[in-house]
Amino acid sequence: MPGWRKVPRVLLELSHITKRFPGVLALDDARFALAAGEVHALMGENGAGKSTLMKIASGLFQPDAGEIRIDGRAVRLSGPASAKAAGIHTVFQELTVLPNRSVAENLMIGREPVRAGGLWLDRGALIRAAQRILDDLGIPLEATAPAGRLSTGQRQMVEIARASAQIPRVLILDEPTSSLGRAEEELLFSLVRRLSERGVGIIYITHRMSEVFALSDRITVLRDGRYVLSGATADLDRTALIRAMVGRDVAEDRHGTADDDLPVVLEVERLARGTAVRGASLSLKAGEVLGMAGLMGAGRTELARLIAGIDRPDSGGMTLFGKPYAPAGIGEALARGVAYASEDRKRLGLVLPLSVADNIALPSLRRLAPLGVIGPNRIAGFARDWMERLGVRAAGPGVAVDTLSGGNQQKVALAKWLATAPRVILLDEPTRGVDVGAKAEIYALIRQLATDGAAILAISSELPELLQISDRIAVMAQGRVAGILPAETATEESLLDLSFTEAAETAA
Amino acid sequence: MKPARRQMADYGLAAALLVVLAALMLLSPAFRDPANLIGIGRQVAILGIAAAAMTFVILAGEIDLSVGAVASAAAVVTAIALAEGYGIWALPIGLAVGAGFGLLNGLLVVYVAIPSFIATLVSFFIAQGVALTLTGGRTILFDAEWFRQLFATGVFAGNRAAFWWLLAVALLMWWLLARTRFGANIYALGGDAESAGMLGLPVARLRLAIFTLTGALMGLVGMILIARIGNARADGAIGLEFDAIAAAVIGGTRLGGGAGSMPRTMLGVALIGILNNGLAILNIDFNTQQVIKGVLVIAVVLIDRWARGGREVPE
Ligand SMILES: Nc1ncnc2c1ncn2[C@@H]1O[C@H](COP(=O)(O)OP(=O)(O)OP(=O)(O)O)[C@@H](O)[C@H]1O
Ligand SMILES: [Mg+2]
Repeated sequence: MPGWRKVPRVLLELSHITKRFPGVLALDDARFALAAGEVHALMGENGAGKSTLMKIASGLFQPDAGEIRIDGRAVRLSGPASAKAAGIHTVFQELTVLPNRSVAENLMIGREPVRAGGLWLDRGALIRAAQRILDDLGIPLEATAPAGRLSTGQRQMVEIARASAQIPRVLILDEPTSSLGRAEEELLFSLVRRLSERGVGIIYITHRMSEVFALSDRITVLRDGRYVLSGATADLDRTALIRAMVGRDVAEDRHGTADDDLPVVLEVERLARGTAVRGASLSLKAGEVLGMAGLMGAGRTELARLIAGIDRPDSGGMTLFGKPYAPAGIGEALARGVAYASEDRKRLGLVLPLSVADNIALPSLRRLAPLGVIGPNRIAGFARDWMERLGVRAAGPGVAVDTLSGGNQQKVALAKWLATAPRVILLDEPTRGVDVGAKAEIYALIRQLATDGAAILAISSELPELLQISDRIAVMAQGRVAGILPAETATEESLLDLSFTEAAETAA
Repeated sequence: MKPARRQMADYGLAAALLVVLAALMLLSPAFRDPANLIGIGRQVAILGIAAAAMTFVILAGEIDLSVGAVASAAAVVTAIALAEGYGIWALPIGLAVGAGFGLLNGLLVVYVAIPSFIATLVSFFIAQGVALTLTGGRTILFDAEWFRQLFATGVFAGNRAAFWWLLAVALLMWWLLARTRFGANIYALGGDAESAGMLGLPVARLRLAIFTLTGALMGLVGMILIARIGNARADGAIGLEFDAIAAAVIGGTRLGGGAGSMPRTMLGVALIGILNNGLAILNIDFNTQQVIKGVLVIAVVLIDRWARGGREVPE
């Protein structure tokens, strides 16, 4: 063990940081200190101010008050470029991968290899350097692939590769695993460990307890923009942590009961599209939550998109309430009572510059304004009701969605679809980036919707979550449903086992 | 590794160009006269330079509606400077007028946070006002044979000066776009401006540079214009903005930013130039030519959408 591990050197220190946005005090005298070589988890509820604090450390926001010290010296970070110059690299919660550029160009942005004194970009070197970064990290991507075609998880890996390849002194990861699959998660964890051994200070934001305990050396908790506590991970336990974040205890128990007698609402038969979905069959029942597990690329989202009318299947068919169902678009699916809350809220879920109220009301306008005339009070009331049900934390229904914290945006995206009163609800990673307290509320809401008779398909990569909310759990592997287990008896191991089913075994 | 459709779209434009060229050559002996074909190169000089600049602007996710008015103002000022006997000093003066308006556009967009559509509309009116005030509605005559030779009429290596200016600008702009970090940053900016900012790219400086460069090139366009015809009017290049946007879009530049390239824009310029020339020779009137241009824009946009898979919803 090198000596510096015993006497941690403080790399980055944020003290007395205050940041006010119109109508919100996002940070109120917050503090945070990061030592070299440590993995430091930053935790707190949605809207607690975690991302804002990290954006201040990344030079993206200027604090209204407070001090930033690097190696003990007070600095001013005037922009992202100056933070990078100080060795602070960040993977932001909102992905910044440029869709119109290749993976290589994304990885090397701002430091493209040049010849002739900067007069000539060296494209060959650019692609080689990028490919080397990907290969070194074990990320199975082609450097020349267009980034716009990558899945959310792959884009997240590109971000991580970009930040970590720049020899950071401080690496900030803001919910880096929110859309990663298990294999990629493992890659990220080993990368984090490797970097911390080299003395890089790592700030890790996540809502997943298991990651915090597996990875971090220290934990700092924020609540309502204020510093609550900071301590060694070994000295903290789950309950204490949740109490520090939420200010109360949160119940976490299983509900599921598989019931064979429930009426089938939606029957999916041997649906196929391209290489992603290769003959998937399942049935959704009224009053039941069907969880859906599977590895990244197993075809879960692609299947949901087929059911939601976003894509058209190559073959196979569906029946809804006994009638043939082949939606030509999202509109038709919605009209027939099928709603899909996407995993990608930035691209499919939300109109970011519009207000929370407008976003929530958008798909329900036909119902709210039957004559085409929109009453703003009616919409605000409608939205306020749904904001309350999901615990959306915002100054009011009139604020623009892009000013909400990531987790609160997720709740709005969810509210928007639930508000259409659908009879079949497809939820794709419904609690991505949502804090423990709010998760419990969303779980309760999902259960309530099922009890009220909706048929629910809930896709999630978090197995504990699936076990908690589902009645039955379908596992997808290589484009097919590899098996369906009752949630009561399923375990994380049995689900994982099924996820690794090879195509040949499910071909039957 | 591009999908076949994408490649077809890439080559489709070149193929369309060849088809049009072949058809016109079959139809008209006057068109296929080598002197005429070479002449097209200088006929498109002004459009080509404006389209090259517009490609930069559109790629970065902006638009510039002031190019025609700014080129006209620069033309008027340069002509007056020549008429007043400023001689060689007329050149930096003309360029400065163009660059000044470009800088104004950039400042309005960056520091006043006005969308470029509005900001450049403002410049359009100001530039028109300046040009009209200076000319008082009259045509400015000047007498500077060296100037006309240098920017338009002089013959070098078998083609007129105007053509060589276009070639130089197109090469310069291609290099900037495809082979420098500046160009890479422009694509990034047009792809997602917010992300570009979070990544630490100098967004404000990039925007200023793009608009100022465009303005300076409009100074050059103004000079080529008056060198070609020998006089200047306040409305000399009005309407150029739409032809420039059309050429860039026909070349596959995506309005909204992030996709497009200089060689493809030049193909778009060539297609418009060849059509204009050929249709004029075939005695098809100007109004019909305009309609054909419009149809062409729609066709290209539809082909481009088809090539991208025709999907409205992202994957
Ligand atoms: N650009 C902005 N404009 C206005 N308000 C903002 C802006 N960014 C953040 N806020 C507000 O600041 C508060 C803190 O948000 P922040 O994004 O830091 O939360 P967070 O802890 O990262 O939450 P999450 O876990 O949901 O990502 C929230 O109330 C949010 O609405
Ligand atoms: Mg956040």
